[in-house]
Amino acid sequence: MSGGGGGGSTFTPTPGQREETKINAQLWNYYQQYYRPLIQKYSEKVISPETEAAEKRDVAGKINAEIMRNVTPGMASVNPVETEKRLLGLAGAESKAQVAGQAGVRSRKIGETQNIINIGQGQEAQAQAGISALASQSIAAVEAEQERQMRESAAKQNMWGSLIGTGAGIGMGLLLKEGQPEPTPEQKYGSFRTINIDPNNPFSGPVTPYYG
Amino acid sequence: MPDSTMNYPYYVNPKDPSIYRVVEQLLRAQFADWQSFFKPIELQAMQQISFENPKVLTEAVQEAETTAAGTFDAMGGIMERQNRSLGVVPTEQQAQTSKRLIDLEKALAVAGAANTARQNVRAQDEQILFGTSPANINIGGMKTV
Repeated sequence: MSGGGGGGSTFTPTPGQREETKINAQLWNYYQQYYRPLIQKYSEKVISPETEAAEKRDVAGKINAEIMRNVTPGMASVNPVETEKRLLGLAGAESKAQVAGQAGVRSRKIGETQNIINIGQGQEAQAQAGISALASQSIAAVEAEQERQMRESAAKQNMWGSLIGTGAGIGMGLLLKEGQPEPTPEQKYGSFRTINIDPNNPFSGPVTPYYG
Repeated sequence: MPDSTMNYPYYVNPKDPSIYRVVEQLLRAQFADWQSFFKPIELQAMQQISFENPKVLTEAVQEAETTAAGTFDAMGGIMERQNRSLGVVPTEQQAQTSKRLIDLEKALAVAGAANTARQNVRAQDEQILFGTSPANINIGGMKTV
């Protein structure tokens, strides 16, 4: 069996696989045309150091404005130490908020970069899946066919085996019934007075057979 | 009719009579696209991991320290203006005490900022490596962005 044009490939694609591959190519071209430029723009914005600097300035300005709302003329005291304590409290709070804000901007940048990486890894995974897409589909098809054949074969064997087994069982039963009387329950299952002790657990005591 | 996407760098011809060639082209195009565009971004992200690039930690700590110190300097200016507005002129002793107090609080804040920056950088390392977000992502101004 020859693949035809595939450099000696063993498998011949089915019409469905051919169609699927053509659709994949069309989807890929669509991605190139429309989606890829968007990702490009997004990544340029995300990765740019200017964007990070601008976001940091924005965050810093907002935090500062929020803190400065608490600096009112009313908070000033004629006691300079009192004024100082209040302002130092605000300075400490702002310092913490600003450092957290800087970290937040960096963290967001990392997250956005991660988004782009994820898109790429999805593409990479897709590419990896594409490495042997046609071959694996063909292999899967062949395996499925082989499995189906084996199942059919096994089913036939099982059927004959079952018939033979059933026949043999019936025959043996007939033979036994012909020569011997029906065994009593005691003959079949042992005496009620038999003390069966579990060899693995001798302290378990006698086990009384249960006939149900 | 020519396909409108034919001018794109990794164009794959879906009408190629050889289905094997289409698969091969798809594979090559996807991998080439990843190599040219996504791989540099990944490598750049890896360069933001502090134990890969020690400058990341140094710069983050310096930035945090400068910010903390700047905040206290700004508050010092505000304090002076508030005192002036009330006509308060601190005595020499008050001024000395005030300076000591400011310096102490500032040193404390700068040290705290540096420690926080180190913790944040470590969290960001994990974020890059494992894709997890540091717990403090919404602290501070990030909520308003």
